[in-house]
Formats: sequence, C-alpha cells, structure tokens
Amino acid sequence: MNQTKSRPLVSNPILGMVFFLGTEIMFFAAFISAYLVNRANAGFTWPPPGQPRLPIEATAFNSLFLIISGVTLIVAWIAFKNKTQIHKWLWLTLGCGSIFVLLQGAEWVRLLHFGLTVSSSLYGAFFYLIVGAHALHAVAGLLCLLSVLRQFQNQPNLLKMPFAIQMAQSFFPAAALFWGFVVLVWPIIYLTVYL
Amino acid sequence: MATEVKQHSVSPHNHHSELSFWRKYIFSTDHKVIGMQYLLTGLIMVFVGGFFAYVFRMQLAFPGQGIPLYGKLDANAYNMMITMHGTIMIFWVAMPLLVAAFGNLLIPTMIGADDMAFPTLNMISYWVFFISTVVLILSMVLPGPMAAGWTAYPPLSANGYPAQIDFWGSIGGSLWILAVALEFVAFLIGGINFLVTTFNMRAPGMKLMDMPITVWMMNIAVLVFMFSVGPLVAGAVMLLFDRSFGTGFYNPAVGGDPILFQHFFWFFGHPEVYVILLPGLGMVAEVIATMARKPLFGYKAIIYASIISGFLSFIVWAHHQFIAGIDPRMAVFFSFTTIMISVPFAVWMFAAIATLWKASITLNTPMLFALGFIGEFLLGGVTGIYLGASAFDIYAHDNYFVVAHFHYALIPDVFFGGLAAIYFWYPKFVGRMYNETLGKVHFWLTTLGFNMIFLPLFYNGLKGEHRRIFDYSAWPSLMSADMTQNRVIATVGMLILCAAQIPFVINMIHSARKGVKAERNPWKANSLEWVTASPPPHGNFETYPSVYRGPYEYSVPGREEDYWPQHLPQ
Amino acid sequence: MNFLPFPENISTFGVELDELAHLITIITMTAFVIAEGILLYFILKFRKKPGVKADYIPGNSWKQLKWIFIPLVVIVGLDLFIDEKNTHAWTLIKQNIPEKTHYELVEITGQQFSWLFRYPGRDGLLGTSDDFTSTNELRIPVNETVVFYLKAKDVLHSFFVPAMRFKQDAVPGRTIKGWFDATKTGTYEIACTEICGAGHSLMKANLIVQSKEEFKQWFESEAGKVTLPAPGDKKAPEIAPSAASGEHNTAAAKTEHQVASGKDLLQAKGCLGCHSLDGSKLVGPSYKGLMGRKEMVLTQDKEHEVTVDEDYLRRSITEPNADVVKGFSGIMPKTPLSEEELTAIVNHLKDLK
Repeated sequence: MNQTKSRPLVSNPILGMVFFLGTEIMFFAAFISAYLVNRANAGFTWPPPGQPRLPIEATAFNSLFLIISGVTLIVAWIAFKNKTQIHKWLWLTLGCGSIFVLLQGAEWVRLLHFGLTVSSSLYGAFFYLIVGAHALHAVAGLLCLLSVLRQFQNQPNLLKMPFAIQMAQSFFPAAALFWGFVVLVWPIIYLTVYL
Repeated sequence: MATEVKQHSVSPHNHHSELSFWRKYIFSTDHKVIGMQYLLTGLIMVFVGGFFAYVFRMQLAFPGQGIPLYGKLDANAYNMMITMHGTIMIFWVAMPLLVAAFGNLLIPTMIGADDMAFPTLNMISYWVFFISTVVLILSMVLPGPMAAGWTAYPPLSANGYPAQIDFWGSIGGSLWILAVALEFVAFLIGGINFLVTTFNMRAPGMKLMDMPITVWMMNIAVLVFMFSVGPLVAGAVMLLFDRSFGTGFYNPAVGGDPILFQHFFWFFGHPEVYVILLPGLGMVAEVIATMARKPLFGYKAIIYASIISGFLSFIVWAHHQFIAGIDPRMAVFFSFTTIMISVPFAVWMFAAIATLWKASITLNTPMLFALGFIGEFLLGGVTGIYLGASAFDIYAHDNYFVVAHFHYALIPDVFFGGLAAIYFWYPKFVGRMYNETLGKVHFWLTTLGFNMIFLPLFYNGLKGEHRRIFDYSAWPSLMSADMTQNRVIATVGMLILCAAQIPFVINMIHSARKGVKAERNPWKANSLEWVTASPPPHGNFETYPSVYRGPYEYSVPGREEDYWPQHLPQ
Repeated sequence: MNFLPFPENISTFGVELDELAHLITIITMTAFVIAEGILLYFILKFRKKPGVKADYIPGNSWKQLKWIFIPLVVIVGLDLFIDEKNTHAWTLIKQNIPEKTHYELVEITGQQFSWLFRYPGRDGLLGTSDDFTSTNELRIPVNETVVFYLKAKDVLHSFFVPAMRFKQDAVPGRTIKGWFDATKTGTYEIACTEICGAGHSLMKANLIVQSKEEFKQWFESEAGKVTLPAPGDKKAPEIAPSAASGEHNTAAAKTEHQVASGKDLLQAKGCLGCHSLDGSKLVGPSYKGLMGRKEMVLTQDKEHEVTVDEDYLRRSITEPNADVVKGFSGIMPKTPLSEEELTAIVNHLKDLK
C-alpha cells in the first residue's frame, strides 16, 4: 500500500462500507415501499383473511437480542478505540446476533406450519422476501464479525498499533458499520411489516 | 487536513518476488490487468451482441430468407435476440468498457496512486463479472431464454403466470436475471473501489478541482449507479421469485401489479444511461483538450452540471412509462423533468465546442472519434426532447423513432467515445503506437455505417414503424417502397459497420506486436498517467508525483511549451 | 405546416399532436443545425497551423462563460415553451374526456395474439348479457367520440392506432379509459406495441370508421345475433368495466349450469383472431373443413401426415405447439379452458364444413 499520501479523513474500509450501505439502504427501501404500496392498495383486506397473523410479541422479544447485540457492538467499538479488551464484547455481539437469527428461524418454521408461505398470498410473499433479505444480511454480518475475531487472533499486535493503522487495516470498523446497519434497519422492518 | 508524510523516492513495489503467470495475468490484483480484462471481455461481447444485431437486421431487410452464418430465423429466436442484443450491449459492453475498464486503467494513474484502495476486492469484482458472463451465455442456450426484451416486463417475463411453474423448462430466463444481478454485484464492488481510491489516494497537492474530468465523471457515474441499482436488484429478485416460487408480486390475479416492475426497472434504468454517458463524455473531453491544445472550457461549470444531471437522473424515469398506465398527472411532472435534463448536457456540448474556439486542432484518430461523439450525440440529444414531450411519446413509444434516438445517444457514447479512449490511451497501456491510417479508415467507415443504419430509422419511426416486430409483411402500411428500402439501407449500413471493425481489430493486434514503441507522453498531455512508463509497471510510478496545478494548462501564455504537466513544480 | 412523414391523421386531437411535433422539429432542428454548423466550422477553421499557438481560454470567468450561459438561457426558454405546449396536448388526450351528450362505448381487450372489441349491445351498458364481441375489427362511427375501456387478458399489450395518433398500454388487472374521435371514414391499422410473445408481430387489427348510418346498421345486425338468456333464467350478473376478470363476452354472462356454445367460445377466447372460418389463411390454419382433413405437421421437427380427428383437435388446443402445421409458426398460446368449454369447442369444430 502506498504510504506517500497524507492521512485521509475517513479510512478506506469505512468509506467503502459507507458507500456500500448507501446501496443497501436503497435496496431495502425498494422492498419496503413496494410492500407499503401493496398494502395501501389492498385496503381493508390486509392482512388477507385465512392467512396466519405475524407473531408480533414473540418477534419483539427476539428483537431485544438484536438490539443488545447493537449495544455490545458500541461497547466493543469503545474498547477498540481505547485499546482495552475487545474480544468479550465481540463474542457477546456475535452471540446475541446469532440468537436473534435462530429464534427468527424458529418463528418461520411455525409460520410455515400454519400455512404462511411465499405462494399462499402476497402477504406471505412480502414477509419472507423482506425478512428473509434481512436474515441473509444478518448472517453475512455475523460472518463478518467472525472474520474480525479471526483477524485479531492471527494478528494480536493489531490492537496495539496506532489508531490510524488500526482503522486502515482492521476489518472491525467496516464490519461494525455493517452490523450496525443490520441492527438499525430491523426496527424499520418491524414497524412497517409486522405492525 | 492531516499532516503530510515524507515521500518515498523509490517505488515500494520492487520488493515483490516474481509472481507466477497465473497471479500476474489471470488472477492479478493490479488495476491495469483488471482493466484490460474488462476491456477484452467487453470487446468480445460486442461481437456477440453485434452478431445478434446482424441476424435480426438481415431478417428485417430480407424477411423470411435464410441468413448467412445463421439460417432461418423464427419469431421466438428473434425475440430472444433483440433481448440479448440490448442486454449485452448495455451490461456487457458499455458498462465494462467505459466504466470498469477505463475506470480501472485511469483512476489510479490519473491521481498518482499505485493501485486501487482494495486491490483484492478489485480482482474479485472482475471474476464475479466473468462468472456473470458465463451465466449469461448459459441463459441463452438453456431452455426458455429471456425473450421479453432487455426490459423484461412481467407478466411476459414471468411466463404469463402459468398455473404450473416449469422451473427447468424456463431456466434460461431465470439465469438471465441471475447474470444481470451478478453483473451488478461486480460493478458495486468495483464502484466502491473507484470512490474510495479517488477520495483517499490522490497525489499530494491534487485537490478535487485539480482532478482530470474523467476521474470526476467516473465517480459521479459510480455514485449514481450505487444509489439506483438497489431497487432493480429488489425488483429482479421479486421477478425471479415470481418465476420460480409462485409469489405473484407482479401477478394481478393475486393482487400484484405488473407496473411495479416497470418502476423498479426504470428507476435504475434511467440513471444507468447517465452512468454510461458520463465516463464517455469525460474521456472525450480529455482527448479534445489535449488534441486542441486548449484548456477544457468551463471545467468547473461542467462538473457542477454533471452533478446536477446526476441528481436529475433520479427524477425522470417514468418518461419510459408515459403510456404504461401510470396516472396521467404524473406524466406531466416527468415530462417537465425530462425536458429539463437536456440542460446540463447542453452545457457539456457547448463546453466541448467552445474548447475548439481558437484552438490548434490535430485531427488524429482519437480526436476524430471524440469529435464524432459530439457531432452525433447532438442528434441523440435533440431527439430526446421529442420523446420527453409525453404527447409526442403517445405516438412514438415502442417505435423506431425511439430506437434511432437511443442509438444516436448510446453509439456515439460507447462506440465513438470508447474508441476515442482506446486509441488515445493505447500507447500508454499497450506501450506501442497504433497505426494512424488504419485508425482513420476505421473512423470514416464506422461513421458511414452508423449513420446509414439509424438515420433511415428516424424516418421509418415517424411513418409509424413499431418495434420488436419480427416481420413487417403483415402490416401493409409499413410495407411501402420507401420503408422497405430504408430497412434494406439500414441493414447495408450495419454490414458496413461490421466490416469497419476489421481494420480496428487488425490495428489493435498488429500494433501491439509490431507497432512503434511508444514514449511516455506521445500526445504531450498534462495529466499524471502520462508521467508513467508506457506501459506502466506494477505500482505505476517510479517516483510518486505531487501536483501543482490543474490538468488543462495548455497553451499557457508566456511558456515555451504548449503544455504544462500537473506534476512539474515549475 | 406538414412536412413530417406521419401517416394520415384522422383524429381530432391528432392535429394538435402533429403541430407539437412540427414545433419541436423546428426548434430542435434549428438548434441542431446551428450547433453542428459551429462545431464543423471550428474544426475546420482552427486546425493546427505551423507557428500558430492556441489561445488560453479556460472558461472560468463570467466574461468567457457567458458564451455558454446565454445560449443556455435561450434553450431553457424554448424547453419551457415546448413543455407548456406538450402539457396542453397531453392533458387534452389523456386526462380529459370531452363533454358530449353521447359517446360510443367499446371495451377493448388485448390477448395473445388478437384484439377483442366488445360492444354494449342494445341496452347501451357494457358488461350485460346483450353485449357482442368483434374479433380484430374495431368499427366506429365517424365524428363521434368513442370512449373505450382497455384491458389485457394475459400479458402486457399496447393499443396503437397510428392514424388516430393514439397509444395506450393494456395492463392485466387494470381497466384504462381512453377516447378518440375520428374525422374521416376508412380502414386503418391497429397494432400491438408492447412485446407480448412470439405472435406480437401478427397482432394486427383493423379500425373501420364508418358513416353514422352504416355503423348503426352494423351495430343493429350484430346486436340482433346475440342469444339472450330465456326469460326465467337467472339474470346475468353485472360486470363493471373495472373488474379484473378475464372473461369478456356472453360466455361469462351465462348462468353457471350453462356453458357457452362452441361458436361463442371461438369468438370469446380469441380463436377467430388467428383461425378463419372461411378458408382464408391467417396466422393459423383455417377451421373450414377441418375435421377429416389431411395435414402435414411437424412434431418435434419431424414431418408427418395426420388426419384431423377429435384427439388431434383436443391436443392442438391443450398442447398447441406439439404438432405444428407445415407453413405456420408454433406460436399458439395455451388457452385456459374448462373441460366443458374444451368439449364444446371441439364439438363445434367437428361440425364445421
């Protein structure tokens, strides 16, 4: 890597992830707006009769785990900046995020059992589409966090380097931004799709 | 701003051990190799897309007859070919050539960097693109290829929502959707690289307003792409689900809406054409300024105009849907914005022309193509005004007038602009001079062929010739002598255009091997890429330059030389 | 002013449309010629000459930029002018239906690969049991405002009448209202201008503009041919023009236990769009004398002879492109039919001489 440049304002990985998240926001915005338009056009027949209702309370409970993982992520970030123990917080984030995904998966199995499928109605189709897209991003985010942990394992002195070097070389800032996105977009999905 | 770091005088890249053939030329992380890979793939695909155009133009001029090198064409194959022609030309030629290839080659070299910000990601982007190409080709040969036009509107693109989904029998169309989605992923990754590299890795002293216009255009294009592509990926996933899992997002029988897909498609589709246009304009501007020995006129005005056009491009999309069944009141809004978006591009045209005033013009091959771009694009631009007027579009939608309009915008951009760029930077990245005579022959034949195809089509369009029609024999009003003659003239023009590329291919291959070795700066240009060796080594610069002025200081009064490179202190 | 090569215009609003096109042409072509002229002039005049250096004009001061911005202001003004004229024309055609005391109503359905035109019958209401349908022929009276309701049965189609300067996409699941007013009698082409499958190129219909008297005569004779349900039968449900249903004919109006006759179905399902009754070769083979006929067909690209029997008739409807008659293209779409409808059609075809 070329070291003749003056230090940039925002490090490469963070800048790159910010632009990528811009695309992701538009992607989810498209799904959600299509859903909202469909729901508006359907008028009173939404949710359609005969389709199971979504588990609003159970999902609210599941969402707590996701929110907690967001909080532990922030603590991990502070630890990263202050060069204190970061591993514990990363594992907690990973753990809570995984619990969220698993619990959501269990909810899905129940919904399928009750007859809500992608082809049973547009209600089901949109549900699995939007929540499924979020789930895929959540899994990807978890894998990113795992790779951060692996990088810290392989390069233990990374955490002792100057902050600028850390920001440029560690996977953590980018992964943290991505996981932050996964956490923050979920309440929006919950509010629009579930409620 | 952060403090300056002491410059290294020696390239940090001479410590690499010798890489294997595979790591050096195939799985390389060097932006120049990746750029060449995109360039070559794009150039190969232009022949595939062009072959389809050959087949269906032969059919249109001589309906029902066997076509040499193909055979007899039937309606289904025709629909597949027009679909693939559009898809390939936009996603597998225009994007890789203008954005990926030249973005990769030029951005690091023009800003004085050694490579892109994320070289490994860059390599991944090409290989994802390569896989998307393979998937696209598979989609053409497996059963049920996409044959609903490159626009792929449902319900037709969802096979009309049959009661029973025939997944394997229509796998071709599903793979088409996958190929386009993969191609988008490749460009997303590539785009991130462009933006981060431009923001963070510029040479010391290079402020944003000192960057060559090409770098500006590439980045604006990438930003527009990244914000617009999300909705189409969303829409495409929904279409794929409709085809494969019986979801019915666009199926009116279960409450879906076909027009929803159109909105998703064009919300991306319209900004996309500016994604393709801006880099072409930027590169042509470089050629014009250099060959005219004059500063690019109104550099800042052009940049502001381009940024405005980037924003405007997001609010014109429904001009593709004026008569699609949208609320007519929406059409009034989109008519206004569409007519207005001509304004920033008028700035571009005027600036390019103004650059020629009191210039000292060398009419070599790159300059001919660059000027050809401006001259031809003007017609594409003004015919866009017609189509932006929704009332005229009532008549002209899905008509050859539209076909002629967009070919007069796209071909000057992709063909003429792309070729101007290829010839201009050939000495730099190949290291040898191309043959000037062959280049001029290529230019004149291409100009002749291109205009012969599309000028008659304006006429036919006005006479009512609607598009995506396999055989006009069923339409007496379109079988008049002048119209059939025009179809033949257009096909002859296409044959000339095809033949015109022969000197180009010969030139490219022969000059690479036997051409005169190129010096560093054969055109006496100002920007940083001309500081490197021809071709640039891995790492690009022996000594990383600092920048002291903008890139268009040509013919500065009081100086002996008529150019003043950016990196020279005095 | 009429120098553009448009086909003949027979539409009231077509006049304004053509004027708009000519106005745009004059404005844009003038601008185009001026710009090209200047471009070519500069290229020729400022070619490199020995000893002559270029001027240094970067265009970063108002003094220099005014050469771009003043023409730009002119262009914006012209653009706004065009936009205003366009808005007027567009609002006239697409947003407002002219106030009249009487309109002719037609329901137009696009389907793969023909056009069905359903008329309201003697009661003047669309969607009642006295409606009648014409395939591929839209007859209208001259100098009368025709209001139509555009629908699509299967995929997107688009209703285009060049002589009327009218186009509107037909979207499945929607009914889109439109109007035009013809000023001259004659026969004109109707095309589909949204790719709808292999038969898109053949989806042609005719617009026949007749004098008011001729039209009235035709209307009466067609209305008279409709077989109404007998008194005492359950009355047919009113089908509002905005319904999403795909049925467009008297068949739908029949009561549940009564299937439409094979003859009505041939019309309603659009078969007559491609297959003639009188022996003429259209998109598909003629129905005349079908039963017992010997045909050369291609089955999986292998040519062989078949004798048309009931089995063959059934298969040619349920699997349309399994055996393609030589000389025709395999583009017949699968038409969804109930078992009773299929039987009714096959029985009717068997008897056609």
